[in-house]
Amino acid sequence: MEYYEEANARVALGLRRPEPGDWYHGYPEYHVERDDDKCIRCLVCVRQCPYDCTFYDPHRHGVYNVHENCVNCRRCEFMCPTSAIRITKWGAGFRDNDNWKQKTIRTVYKQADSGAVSLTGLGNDREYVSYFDRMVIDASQVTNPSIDPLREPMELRAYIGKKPERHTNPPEVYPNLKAELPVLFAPMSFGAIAFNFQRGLAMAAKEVGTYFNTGEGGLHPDLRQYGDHAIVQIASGRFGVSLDYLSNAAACEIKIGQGAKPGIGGHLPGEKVTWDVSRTRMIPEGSDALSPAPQHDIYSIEDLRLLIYGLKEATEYTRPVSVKIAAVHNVAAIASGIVRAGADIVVVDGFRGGTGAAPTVIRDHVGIPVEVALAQVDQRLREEGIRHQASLIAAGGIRSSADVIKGLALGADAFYIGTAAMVAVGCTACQQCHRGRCSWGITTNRPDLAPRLQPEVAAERLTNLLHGWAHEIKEMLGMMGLNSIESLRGNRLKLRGVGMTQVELDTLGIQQAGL
Amino acid sequence: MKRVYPREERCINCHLCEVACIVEHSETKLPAAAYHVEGLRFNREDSRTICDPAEAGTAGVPKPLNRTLVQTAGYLSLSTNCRHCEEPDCVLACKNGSLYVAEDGRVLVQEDKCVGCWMCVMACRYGAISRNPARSNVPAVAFNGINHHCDLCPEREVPACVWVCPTNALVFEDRDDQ
Amino acid sequence: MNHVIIGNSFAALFAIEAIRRTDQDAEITVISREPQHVYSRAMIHEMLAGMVREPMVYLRDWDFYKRMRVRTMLGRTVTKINPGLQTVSTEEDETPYDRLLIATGGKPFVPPLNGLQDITYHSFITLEDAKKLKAACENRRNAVVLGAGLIGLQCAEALRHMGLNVAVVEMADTVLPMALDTESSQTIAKELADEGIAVHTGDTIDLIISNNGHPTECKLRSGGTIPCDLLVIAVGVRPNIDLAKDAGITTDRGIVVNEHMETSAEHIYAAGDCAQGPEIVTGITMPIPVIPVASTQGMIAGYNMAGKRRRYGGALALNAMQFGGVQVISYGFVKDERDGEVLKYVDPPRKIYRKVIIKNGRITGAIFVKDVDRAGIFRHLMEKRIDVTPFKEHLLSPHFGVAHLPAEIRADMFTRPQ
Repeated sequence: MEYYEEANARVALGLRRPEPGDWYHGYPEYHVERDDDKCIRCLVCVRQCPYDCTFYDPHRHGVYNVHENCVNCRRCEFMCPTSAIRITKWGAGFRDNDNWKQKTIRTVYKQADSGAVSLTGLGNDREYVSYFDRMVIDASQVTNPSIDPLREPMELRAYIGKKPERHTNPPEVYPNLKAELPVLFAPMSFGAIAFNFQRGLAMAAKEVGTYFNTGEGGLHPDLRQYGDHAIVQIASGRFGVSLDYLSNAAACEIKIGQGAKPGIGGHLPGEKVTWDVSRTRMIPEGSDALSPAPQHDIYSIEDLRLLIYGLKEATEYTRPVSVKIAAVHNVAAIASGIVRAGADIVVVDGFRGGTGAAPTVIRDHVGIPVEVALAQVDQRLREEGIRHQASLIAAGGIRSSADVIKGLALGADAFYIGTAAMVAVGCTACQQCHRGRCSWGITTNRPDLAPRLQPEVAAERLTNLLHGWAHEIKEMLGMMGLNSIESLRGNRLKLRGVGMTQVELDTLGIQQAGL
Repeated sequence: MKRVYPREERCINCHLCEVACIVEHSETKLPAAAYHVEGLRFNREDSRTICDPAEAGTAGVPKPLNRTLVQTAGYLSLSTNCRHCEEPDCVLACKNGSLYVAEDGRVLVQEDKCVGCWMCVMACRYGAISRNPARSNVPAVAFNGINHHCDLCPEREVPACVWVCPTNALVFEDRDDQ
Repeated sequence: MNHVIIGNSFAALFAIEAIRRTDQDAEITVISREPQHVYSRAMIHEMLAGMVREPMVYLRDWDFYKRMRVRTMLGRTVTKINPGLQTVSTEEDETPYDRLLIATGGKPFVPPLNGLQDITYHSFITLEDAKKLKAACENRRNAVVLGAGLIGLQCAEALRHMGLNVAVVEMADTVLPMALDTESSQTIAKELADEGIAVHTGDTIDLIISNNGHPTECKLRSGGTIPCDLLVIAVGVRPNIDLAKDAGITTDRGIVVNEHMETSAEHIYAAGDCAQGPEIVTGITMPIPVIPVASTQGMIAGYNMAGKRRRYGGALALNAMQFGGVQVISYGFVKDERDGEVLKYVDPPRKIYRKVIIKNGRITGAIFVKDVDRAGIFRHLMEKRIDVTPFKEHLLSPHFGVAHLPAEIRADMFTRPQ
């Protein structure tokens, strides 16, 4: 049968038996509730569900579900023309147990079923503290008047790169990125994400005047035209790296690690390596693209310095070179070493960072929050007098303009947004990115799913998001009596902590609210 | 003259265009009524309606049937409908002159005159005509029906299929100068 | 410009519309032997049976001639065409022309049967024929139709619907020998049998036994005798070429025309069942008496007459019919399988049959029984002589559609105005 006919005619599985080899699916997590009165049997949901969850039964002339396959992506809810569908929790779940939660039990089932490493997508979803949510921002009252952003120009532009030691005439100028607002699109590789999404990121970056990052997947030839808004990554797999790749870009980034899976390499499951992806990465179609954990030619800080200067030589010192690390223990010392090794930009990726595929256990238990990492790195670099030698980009779960303001105050020069960008174009955070069946066409290159995200739509939504954030940042700056992000950067006094211990406050370098 | 043109690279095979077409051409314009009260659809598993006319519409209203059809092959899908040709094959083949070109250029059928001979189905090189079994002007003939094809939604500014498409895979524009 | 059209059916109709669309000032005159408003000969069987009311057979509204500013001379027979003088003569007068279209259609062929001269028999071509037949059906029980072509079978079905016993006698081995192949004609024969029509194939009438000018029995060549109080002769139609022939215009089986529908005589055109133009699959010129061909030829003739040089690309034999509950659509040559690749799909319980004959990558014949959705796409493939080898395996699928065609062809069809 033709591909789409198979989807159209997907019929119920036969009789279900309790499967001793599949305990994970033995207890459905979600229930697809369909209002039979509203359902017009149009079969849109049947065709749209990529998880083999929805089917049409011609004998009963009705639409039915294999609930244990539902991942709560909500695509069917979104597409149903009569709003007849509601995804709910399956039922009572397991007996209430704060130690053995639903997720914990199901993870053990899954591992006992498969004996394999459990993979997942997106970022750490556990209930760790969010320091962003425990910080509040100052506002001007009485003595320090606020500024009206509609009347005064607000400087949001961020120059990202090495700054000169002192003022000279003529000034010493190093290659810098110029972003119209301090928000850039995070590294997301073609293969992990859809071509249309990467194109949308590139188009929006160009429209707004910021940057997107190729991630480890190389730069697709059709996106070469966006090179002057592209940061290209050199990751441990060195996928797609060539001289042209480097020279065509605005900056090069050496990826040492990422917040979602510190210490291990990138992972693109074979299902996601389509023909186009294989061509861009220069690997065989359908093969797993596993990046080695370390970069095998960087075993010491001296090796890193060699590579940084190798890139600078190759691009004739016209491009800033960035180094991206995951936020882990002693991140401040690591960052200091990286700056001294010659990096123009240091990217610190916190443990909330997203991924296309990572072992769940690493995603959820390794790394530290970007807020504390950022504060410590900024402080250490200032103490060592080398803060000007590199810009700091913070990444890992930046969700709003408020997070941006707080991050700026903690010391960042700019931010990468990854998950937020995906959510902006329709992601519902179902955490199934690694399976290559993204219902929204964001993290898949499957030809039947890819058209679900159109690049112009993605670009428009991303542009809207950044414009909205820019406006909010201007409002918040004005509200604090500032008219430039330069005045906010590292200005810890603009933040106060609520509900934190003294040690936490000290680590962040901020005071308790009320003081 | 504005016509509906498909952009196949954007089609996600959802068939909402067919749904919108059915609802637009129903009596009530309410989806549940259009599908349930005005007549259930049968044998949908292959995207066509195979229907015994004896079971056509319950409310005495002709059963709504989609006039635009999503055709698929492999990973490709696109919504196809009447091209409203300038020299329509169907009008040249129509056995009793019930198909005609209206003043505004749309190709239409006189629904009370069509005798369901299917010369138009034979003639239309785009496969844009389907057979609507819910109505017959020659009830003595078994499995009769009448011509059924896109009428460019005369009551709307923009045809329903174009309006509903979630990826703008259908556009309503005038390309006559091409 | 003064246009005269002999004939008042499909070719004439579309010629009128084409001329008027091109030239608002043209004078158009229609002369036709038949007195009726423009009507469809394909509808007379449904009218005969009472399945439709009479208004359904007319092709355009009553004010059509007035709107089109056409002068009509209906019920008048043209006796002579005078190419030198550029006039046509009827019994009463002469009508001059600048451009002349001969759209005289066809006339029934009546074979010399034994005993035919002693009885009143019926043809089944014109509305008048149908009305006479209807009147004759009163108090009759046993109709015999000679000829199981499209016209003969449609007449037979209509008579059966009216309650008569009907027998059909056909010389060939199958019904519809010109349009269908063996398998499909067997399906149709079964439908006819289910309707109670007796079908005698491979047979003919040797003798008609009559009484007082009315038939009572027919003796068949095969030996049997069948009761008959009503006889319809429907063995074939010949192009009506006498006027052209007498005027010295080149004729073959039909009036020979070029791709502009021009005959051998200056300013004289021909279109429709009386004309003979190139056929697409073989390139041979032959009359193809089907409605879409007549309409298109008439339209092209009209354009050329009005000064717009248009070319006719050639005709494809096409048929659409329904007997019993079974629809059939066919294209091209469905019986000629020599040197061709034959693709077949049969589903007997559902009466579905699809056959495609491919020669040198091009479809030369295609037939669809019962499952006729989107059959027209095959017309496109055949008329444009598209090489179907890349998507051959999908042709028989009930889902076959434009999505299976090469992208350029589909883009041509759906992204540009037509």
